[in-house]
Amino acid sequence: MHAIELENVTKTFGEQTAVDGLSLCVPVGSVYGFIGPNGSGKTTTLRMIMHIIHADRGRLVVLGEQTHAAANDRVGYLPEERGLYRQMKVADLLRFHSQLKGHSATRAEINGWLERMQLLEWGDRKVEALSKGMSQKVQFIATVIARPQLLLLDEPFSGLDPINAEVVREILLELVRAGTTVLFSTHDMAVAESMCDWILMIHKGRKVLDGTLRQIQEEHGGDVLRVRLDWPNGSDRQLRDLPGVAKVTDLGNMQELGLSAGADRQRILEMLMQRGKVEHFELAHSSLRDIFLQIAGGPARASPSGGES
Amino acid sequence: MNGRKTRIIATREYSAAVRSKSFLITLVLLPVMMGGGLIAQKVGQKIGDTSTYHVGVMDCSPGKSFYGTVADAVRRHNDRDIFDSSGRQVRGKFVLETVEPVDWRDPAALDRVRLSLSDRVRGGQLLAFVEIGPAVLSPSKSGGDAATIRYSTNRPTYSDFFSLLQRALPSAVIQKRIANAGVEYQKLQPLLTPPPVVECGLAESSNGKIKYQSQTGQIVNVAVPIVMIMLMFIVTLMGTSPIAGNVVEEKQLRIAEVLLGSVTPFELMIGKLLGGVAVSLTLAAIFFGGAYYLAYSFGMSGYVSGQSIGWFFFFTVVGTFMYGSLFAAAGAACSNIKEVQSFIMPVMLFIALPMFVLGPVLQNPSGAVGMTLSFFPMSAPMVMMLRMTIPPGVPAWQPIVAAASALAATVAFVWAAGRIFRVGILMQGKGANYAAVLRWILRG
Repeated sequence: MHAIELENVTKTFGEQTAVDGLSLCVPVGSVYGFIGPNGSGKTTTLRMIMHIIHADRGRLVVLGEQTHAAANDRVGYLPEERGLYRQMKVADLLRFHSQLKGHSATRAEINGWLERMQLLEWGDRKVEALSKGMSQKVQFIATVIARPQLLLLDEPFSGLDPINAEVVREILLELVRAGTTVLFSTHDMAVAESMCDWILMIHKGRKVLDGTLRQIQEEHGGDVLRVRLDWPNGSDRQLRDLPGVAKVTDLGNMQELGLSAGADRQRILEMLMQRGKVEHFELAHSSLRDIFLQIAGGPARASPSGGES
Repeated sequence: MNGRKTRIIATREYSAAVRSKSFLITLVLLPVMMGGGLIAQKVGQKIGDTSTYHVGVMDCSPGKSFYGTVADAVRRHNDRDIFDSSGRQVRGKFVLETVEPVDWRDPAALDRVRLSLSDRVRGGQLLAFVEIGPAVLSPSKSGGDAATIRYSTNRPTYSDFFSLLQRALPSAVIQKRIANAGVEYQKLQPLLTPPPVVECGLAESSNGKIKYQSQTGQIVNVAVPIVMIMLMFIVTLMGTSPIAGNVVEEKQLRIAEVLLGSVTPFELMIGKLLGGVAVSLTLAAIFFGGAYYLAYSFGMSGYVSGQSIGWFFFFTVVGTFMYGSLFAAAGAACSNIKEVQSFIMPVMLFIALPMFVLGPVLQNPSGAVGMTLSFFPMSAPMVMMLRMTIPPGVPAWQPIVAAASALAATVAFVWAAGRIFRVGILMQGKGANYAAVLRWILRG
């Protein structure tokens, strides 16, 4: 059973193809991460799922329905650009949004959400009195207050401090435990890695990754060693010379060694210890960030063996 | 379309509008402005005019026959006419200055005197100067300038002295002419008194008795259409014009996309239109109710029929929907309020059209202008309402045809506006031009 099904969906704006033959299935009750560089087509895809804009080609099914009206009340949508009526009182605004979803939240319910977001004393104040962060939180409450079956969130954590980001994360996971399906876009790879059951990467309107984190890492990444060394000098060159090391990435206070197939990790550790003091040695998989950079072709900090590091 | 969602949007729009400062200001200021003329007149009367105005009089008539006439009229004015019933001076006082007559056959000398007097008028020493021509007693012989009474001033709107002259001099000149002809004026005077032409109301039968409309009724019959059309113009504008600004604001503040997560663009637009209609109807009900109460208090409520009231509210609703859809489309097509202002100029001209043709339609309600505009969809609601309230009214079929025409146009406008709204509502950056808007309508 899928909450969202897209089949060969295409959308063009003039000469520009924003989304090109995209297909995806979001399982019910999953947390689905949507990643990709700026302008890759994430927001356009979310808008098409919401039927705010219409696809030129392809098939979209949301909660088993192909029309906007049928599924709309069961879907919560948080756009990337937040917008609230500045002259409305916070509680009235939340009631208005819940009513639009056919829920009509009570004041107690609204207060419950406001308390959870540490905004209880702001319920009777106008939106214009809120700070940007507070507005973000009110916008988030407006999205989830009707307890939708499906949540589409475009950059839900942007603009939130770590404490509030954690509160939002907890609420989302709580909703998922209650059966809600969450699809969100993010530039924060750490959030995608930690929260998502499923990750989809879109690049230049096309799907380039789709699967669980483990599947993606196995398919596109590889094993890496993270080491912190207390060597007097010349560590980079000595690391590149090690057998089985394909590339070296400087992580700041650590070095990440990309391993070639069949590399002997035990042998590498022994050679490192022969050359100096090893403070940290960890075997890990390639991070989502590395895979993202590798596919999107961003400014590489990593360099192939023999290059700069 | 989801009626529940549309109603929620309409309720929010209405609630926001009636709590706005502009609504409250209109509520208070409109009656003040409409009654402003009466108030200003009353205040003007209370303050009064205690000025003294100097007027130069050059009597070139044979024997300076008429200076005395003017002087007598001024004396009567200063002694009697400038005071109200409590004895307080409320009008300006006049002081005459004699100007030595010049030879009318010497145009250069005449010009010099006129220039000198004109300079004194411009300098503020004189209100005006009067020249009584040398041939006023025998106009047929010389004619032209010499047979006239000239009044020159740079304050043509101040008419008290001019009126005084008109009342006193022509009759005095005629009296003198008759006397010069050897006829006794006292015998001739009753024959020369013109019969008055009086405006009267029609006779009507009421409870078996014949009654006549009073003269006040005639005045009210002209005032009613003007008041109703002004009222419809203002309430329609109040309900519709904020829509464009609100839509642009929702685009700029990114509220539109949040709303489109819950409603379709068409539902959003219709909700806004219904909110606008509710605002217009609220204002109309308040003002109409107030006006009707006043009319009832003065026994004049019969001058507006129940049918007219019904049509008034119907055409207000249709007009608000029609113009509101254009404002909504303009808001969606533009990206800031400046663009909106230039974009909606043609719409504003159509809304204001009935105001421009008020005079010709009042003069001849069934004339070409009135007939054409009362069936032309964009002006039909107001112009037909205007024609209906001007006695004797219009045949029953005409408002029905006008309503059908306006309704058909409204449906077309709402449909087109819906297509513009759907494309434009998420557009950022530069607004669309008319060609792009036309493309959106045709292609969706």
